[in-house]
Amino acid sequence: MKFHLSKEKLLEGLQQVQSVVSTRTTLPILSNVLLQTNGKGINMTTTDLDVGVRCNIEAEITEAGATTLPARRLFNIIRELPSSDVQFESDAKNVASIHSGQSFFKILGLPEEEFPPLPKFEGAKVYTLRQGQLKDALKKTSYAISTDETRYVLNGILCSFKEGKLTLVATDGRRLAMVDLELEIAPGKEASVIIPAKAINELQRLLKDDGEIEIRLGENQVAFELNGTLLVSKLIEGNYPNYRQVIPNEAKERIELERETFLNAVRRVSLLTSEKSNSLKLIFTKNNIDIAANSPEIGEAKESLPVKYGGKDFTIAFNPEFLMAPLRNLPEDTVYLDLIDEMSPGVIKINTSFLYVLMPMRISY
Amino acid sequence: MSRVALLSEIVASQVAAGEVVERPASVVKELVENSLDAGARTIETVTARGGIALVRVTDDGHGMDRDDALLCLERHATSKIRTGADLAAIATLGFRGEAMPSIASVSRFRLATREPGALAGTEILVNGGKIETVRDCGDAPGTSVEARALFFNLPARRKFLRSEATESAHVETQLQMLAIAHPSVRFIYIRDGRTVFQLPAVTRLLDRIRDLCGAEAADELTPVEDGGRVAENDLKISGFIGKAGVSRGNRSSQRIFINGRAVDNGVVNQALREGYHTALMKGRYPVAYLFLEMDPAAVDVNVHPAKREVRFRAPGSVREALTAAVRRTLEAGRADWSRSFHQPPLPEQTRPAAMVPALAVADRAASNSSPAAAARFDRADFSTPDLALPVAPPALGLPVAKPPAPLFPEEGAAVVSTRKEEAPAGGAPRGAASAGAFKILGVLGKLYVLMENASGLVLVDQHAAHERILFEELRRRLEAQEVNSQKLLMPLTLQLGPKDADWLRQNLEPLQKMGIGLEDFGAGSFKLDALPPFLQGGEPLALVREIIDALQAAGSGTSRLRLGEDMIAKTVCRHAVKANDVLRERELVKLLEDLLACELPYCCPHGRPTMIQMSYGELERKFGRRAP
Ligand SMILES: Nc1ncnc2c1ncn2[C@@H]1O[C@H](COP(=O)(O)OP(=O)(O)O)[C@@H](O)[C@H]1O
Ligand SMILES: [Mg+2]
Ligand SMILES: [Zn+2]
Repeated sequence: MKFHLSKEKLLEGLQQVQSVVSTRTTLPILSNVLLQTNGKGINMTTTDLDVGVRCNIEAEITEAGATTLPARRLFNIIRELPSSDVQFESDAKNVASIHSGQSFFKILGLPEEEFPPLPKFEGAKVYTLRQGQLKDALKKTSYAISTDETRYVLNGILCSFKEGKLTLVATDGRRLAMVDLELEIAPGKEASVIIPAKAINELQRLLKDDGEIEIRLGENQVAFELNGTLLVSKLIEGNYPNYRQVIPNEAKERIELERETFLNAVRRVSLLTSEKSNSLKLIFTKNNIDIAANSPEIGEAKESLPVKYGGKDFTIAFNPEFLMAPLRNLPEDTVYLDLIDEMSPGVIKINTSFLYVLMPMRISY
Repeated sequence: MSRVALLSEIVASQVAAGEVVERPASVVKELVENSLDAGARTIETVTARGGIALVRVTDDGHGMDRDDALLCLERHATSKIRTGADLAAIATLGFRGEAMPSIASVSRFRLATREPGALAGTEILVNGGKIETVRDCGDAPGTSVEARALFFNLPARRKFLRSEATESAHVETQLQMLAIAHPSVRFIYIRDGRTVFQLPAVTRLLDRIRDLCGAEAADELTPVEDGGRVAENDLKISGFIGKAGVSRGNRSSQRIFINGRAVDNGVVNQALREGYHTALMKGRYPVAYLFLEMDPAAVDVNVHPAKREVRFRAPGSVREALTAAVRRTLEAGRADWSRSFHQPPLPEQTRPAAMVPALAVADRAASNSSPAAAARFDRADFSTPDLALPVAPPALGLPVAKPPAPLFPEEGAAVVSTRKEEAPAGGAPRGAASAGAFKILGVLGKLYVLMENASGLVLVDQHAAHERILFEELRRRLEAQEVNSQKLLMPLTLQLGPKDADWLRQNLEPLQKMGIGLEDFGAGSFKLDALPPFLQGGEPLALVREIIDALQAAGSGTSRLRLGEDMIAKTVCRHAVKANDVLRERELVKLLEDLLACELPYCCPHGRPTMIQMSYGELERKFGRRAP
């Protein structure tokens, strides 16, 4: 195999695929990127057996072929190359030579045949979305994914393709984030799948503001095609909990908040919550919220925020991290906090489709 | 007796033997227990080839007359219980009347017995269950029972016997347990013609343990502090447990006796472990020679004929009493432990001076005088703790004087003197034992603080020590604080068995205080709707089950932060000084002072020791000055 291309092109491709490679693996081939020539350039593929990515970059091919090379090492080398022009060549023993300016590198690779193939999708359900839409929806939900490996069904985002919309849900059992995206779903194309967090991460890196993305659902796999890049992932098998039942039907109080102001105040006050018994109080009185925290061993903090509030005086406590997470990830200037009482879930909403349910903390003794 | 009836009797005995007589060690156990029941003062056990060829137990007990000797070979013939009511209150070791006929049915058996006053004794020879000879004999008063060729008539069972060495080891363990349970009886054990042990009758259990296990093992023990009888089941706990930091890789040094009977009981094991709590590393086992005495009616020993299993009527109160006793004992041991941190109260000449002039002297008094004078001064302080020290406490923040190291070390190394610690505000005597001075020799590998004390060298792991200090500090702080509880989005249903459900119903409130929101739904189901915020990982239901187990073991009066301890340990591990953190002398002194002021200073929160003593004896053995 022999080709030549610009350093920037090569780097761009490697950047897209290298984060998938396993850092710790007993299978050396999984640390490698598969390079294959095609008509117009080369394909680069990486996988950790759960998630795989393939992208195309333009190159001037002088000899077709394929090889695999250690992805991280290759990336580090290419990044440091002195010249923009890169000459690449690999022989039958998978020894690759890279020339650039006055530099020369020889890297030992592994044969192409050892590389696990990405799954093929047949008879898959196909949906098309705007990238910007999905990017926005993932940003608004993905932070609520559970990282607790014992609750594996929660280690991903539920994607439900039903009733003319794609619903994305993430929860860790204490809070839940949800977004609905309008989407035309042909009859028989309804589906509900859980996409693992790692694939969501990769997807978020690949998504741009413009252009379209095609989602293909297989039996237990999903593929995303966007900007000429293919992302394939296994699905999490299992039953996602019935999230509908935790969404309160009505709110007693709705408080309109300026997102930035509220977030900054919460962040300041939370400096005085100890990491163990994280809790932050929202004390509602007429047209005011006091945001308060105290930790006997540290001290206390309070900040008043004028708001429009005419309900009865009451206090509710939240984990400050749970409160701040959506505020950080929403672009909107205005958010609404819907409350019922101090022991019922609170809901954060915005003017478009978004919903964040968070459970209060009971402060006792 | 008709032939058929006799045969079936033998078969029945052999069947029973399957349960009672598993291996030579069980023969030994049954026979020695019978001797003990007969009031023997001396019991001699002789075995050959792992006990497979021969087990003979000879005692000087009350013996039997001929009728009884014949009767005892019949199944369910026992002089020890007559009625079902007796069975409920078993105080003797044997009670089923199965051992003698069982053993006789699977061996070549000889019973020789004579009552002290009788003119002659009786000798009975039995071969595989068939009585062959009954005659007078002239043996000494007492009883001698011999079982040769065990399982000679049951090749299938004989096949299950292990190697002679293994069977021998089982016999020895069995005899050790019996000997520990009965220190006032002389035990002799002769194996293949050689005396393995000959334990004199003693009055104190510790002497028996020392004779049996050696002086070093005995030195690691501390008498268990019985907190008085628990009214409910009249439980009395005595014996010895390993000092904090003493542990083994398995349960083999855990000898538990209930009413004199060696048992292996989960409740007891769990309670023991819980008593040590953070003083025991995960995967290690406590050392214990424990005796529980209780109303025989409060414990069911009839679970298995081999009688190692017992069941308590009120396991909860046994568990609590035992855990509390272990805790009390460990706390009581702290004075001794603290003392080992202090410089030797011996005249300098009797011990070699420290090789390195160690650390500079921290206080004015010492730096103004010669180190030797300082050492003398501090020794005086050690013996008269009330003496007020004209010494600037490190806390004053005076600059630390670091005199240049002397070219030639003078006699007597530098001593870092510390102020006697004031009793904490609460008036508790914590830390009182830390009065005196530490003789710090230096720091090894930027991790181990080396100190000298009367017994030799002391090594303190600075990370482990600091972890323990921070752990207790943080736990105290958090305890003073409200415990929050994070509501769950989706409440979960917990289904429990009647026992656990019962326990849970009675403990809803303490659990609530720990931040666990549970509600009784009846019929053994509970709704779980909140967890403390630090319990994040894990499947909530599995978590709660674990918690119930842990708390049942911990008993009432557990810290509200019990559930947070893992988290606290993790946090402090990050904040504690590490290996390679160079501590200045003043920091070292503070570290030692704070460690000594801890509730459980012996181990880090993960149960690793904070301090290790290397005695002169150990060093002498290593240097070949003394035989190992
Ligand atoms: N060494 C002994 N000295 C005196 N009596 C004994 C001795 N061994 C056994 N016996 C008598 O034989 C009876 C039966 O013993 P055994 O079969 O072990 O049943 P158990 O001990 O359960 O009563 C005992 O109850 C006791 O009266
Ligand atoms: Mg018996
Ligand atoms: Zn530790």
